[in-house]
Amino acid sequence: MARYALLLYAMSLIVVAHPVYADSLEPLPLTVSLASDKVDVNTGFRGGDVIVFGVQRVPGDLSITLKGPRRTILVRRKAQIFGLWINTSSWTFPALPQYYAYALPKNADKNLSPVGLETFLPPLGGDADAFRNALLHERQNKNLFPKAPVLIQYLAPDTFRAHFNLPADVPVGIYEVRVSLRTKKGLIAEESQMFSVAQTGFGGQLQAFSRSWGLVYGLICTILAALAGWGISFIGIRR
Amino acid sequence: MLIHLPIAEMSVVAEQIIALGAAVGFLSGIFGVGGGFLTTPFLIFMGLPPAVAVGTQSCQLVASSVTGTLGHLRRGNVDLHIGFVMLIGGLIGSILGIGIFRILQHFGQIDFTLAVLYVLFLGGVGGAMLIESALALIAQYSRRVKAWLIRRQETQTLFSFFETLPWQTDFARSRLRVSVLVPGGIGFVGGILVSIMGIGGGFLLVPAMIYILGMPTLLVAGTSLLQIAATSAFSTVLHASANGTVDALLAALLISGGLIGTRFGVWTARFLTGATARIALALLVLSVAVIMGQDMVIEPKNLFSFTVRGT
Repeated sequence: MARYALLLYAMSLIVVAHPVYADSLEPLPLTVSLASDKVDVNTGFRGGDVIVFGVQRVPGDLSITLKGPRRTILVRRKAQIFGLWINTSSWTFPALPQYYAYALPKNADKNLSPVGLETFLPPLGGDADAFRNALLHERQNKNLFPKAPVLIQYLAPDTFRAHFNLPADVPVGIYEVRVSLRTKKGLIAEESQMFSVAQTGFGGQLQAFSRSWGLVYGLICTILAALAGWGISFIGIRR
Repeated sequence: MLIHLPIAEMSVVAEQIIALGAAVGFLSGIFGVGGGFLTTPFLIFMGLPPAVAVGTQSCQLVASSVTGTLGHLRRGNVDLHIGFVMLIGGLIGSILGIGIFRILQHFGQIDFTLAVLYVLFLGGVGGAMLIESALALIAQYSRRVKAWLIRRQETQTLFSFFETLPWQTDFARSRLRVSVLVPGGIGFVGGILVSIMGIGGGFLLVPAMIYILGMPTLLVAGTSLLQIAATSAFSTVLHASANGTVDALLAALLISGGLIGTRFGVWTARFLTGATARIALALLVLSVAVIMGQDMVIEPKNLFSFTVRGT
C-alpha cells in the first residue's frame, strides 16, 4: 500500500514539474486587448481610432505593429519615348501590407525591436530602389506608411496603451495587431489580435450590392439617371 | 463636406463634385453638348481612378442626354429608323470599347491612351469647329468669304465609295438612301468612344451625320442625342457588371449639380447665339485637348504610378 502511495506521489511530481503545466499555474507575461474589433467606414468617415492596451508582467522592451491586408502592388515608371512620356518599366511588390504603423515606448532601444519599414520592404539595390522609394513616399504622403512611431504610454508600471489613427482613405480588410516583448536574449512573448475595417451603412450595402448584382445595379443606376433626365427635361433645354 | 464614396473607395469634397456637375450642366444648357469630355478629365484630375471616372460619367451622361432627347422626341425631330441602325452599331462598339478598356487597364496604359484619344479627337474636332465657325463669323462681314463657303457646301456630296457598300436602305424620314453600314459604322465608332473615353461623342456624331450621311440638320440633334442616351445607358450597365466601376453616389452628386447648372445655362443661352457661340465651344473643346495633351509631352511631376492588384 505504501509503495502505491509513493508511486502516486512520484507521478504527481512529474506532472507538476512538466513545463506546460508549470506555466499554467503562473500568469502570462503579456496580455493584450483592443478597444474595438472593428472600424466602421461609413459615408462620413474621416478616419478611425485603433486603441491597443494590455498588461506587461515581465521586464522587457515592448513594440506594437499594425499591418493592413496584404496586396500585390505594381509600380510603373514613365520614360520619354519619341518625345512622349509613356509608362515603360515596372516593379512588382507582392504581398505588401496596405497599411503599416508601429508603436514604441519612450526611450526605446530601436535596434532591439525590428519595426521599421525595412522589415518587409528592404532596400533592393540598383534601379529597383527607385521604385521602392517612390512607393514609400507615396504611401507616407497618404499616411498609410509611418513617418514616425506612435508612442506607447504606460498608465501604470505594468499597464500600457497605444492609440493609432487610421486615415480617411484606409483600405478595407482584416488588420493584424502584434504586440512583442523583447530583451537582449530575444523574443520573450508575443500576442496577436485582429480587427476589421469594413464599409457599413448605406455605402457598404451599396458596394456589396454592386459587386454581387453588378448587372442589376447597373440597370438601376441607368433607370434612375434616365428618370432624372426626364425630370430635368421640363426645364426646357435647347437642342 | 467630405463624403466617402463606396465604389471609388475614396473621399471627395461633395461641394466640389456638385460644382463640377453644375459647371458642366451650365455649358450643356448653353451649347447643348453632353459635357462628358469635360467631366471625365476633371474627375481624373481630382484623383478618381480613370475606370470609376469613365464608368460613373456614362451614368451621368444618361441623365443629360435623356433630357435633350425627350425634348426633341416631343417635337418629332428624330429619325427613329436611322437611330435604330446607329444604335445596333453603338451597342457592338460599346462592348468592344469596354474590352479594349480592360486590356489597357491591365497593361497600365489607360492614362496615356485616354490622353492620346482626347488630343486626337477633341483636338481634331475642336480645330475643325474653330475654323468653320471663324469662317462663318468672317462671312458675316465679307461677301467673298460667304460666296466661297456657299460654293463649298453645294459641292459637298456623299463619298462615292459608300454607294458601293451592300444593304442599301431607304430612310424615309431623312430622305436618304444609303447602306446600313454607314450609320451603323458611325454608331459603332461612337459606342467605342463612349466606353473608353467616357464622352457622349455628340460633337463627333453631329458632323458625321451632317457631312457623311447628309441628314437634314433638323433631325441631327435629336437623333444624335438618342444615340448618346442609348449607348451611355448600355455602357453604364456594361461597366457596372463587368468592371464594377459605376459609383452611384458620385453620379448622384454630379446629376444634382447638373440640375442646377442646366437651369442657368438655358437662361444664359438666350444671349449667346450663332457663330460666336460655336467659336466659344470650339475653344473650350480645344483647351481640354491641350490640358490632356500637355501631360504627355511635358515631363510629369510624378513619374511613378501605383496599381493595387489582388493578393
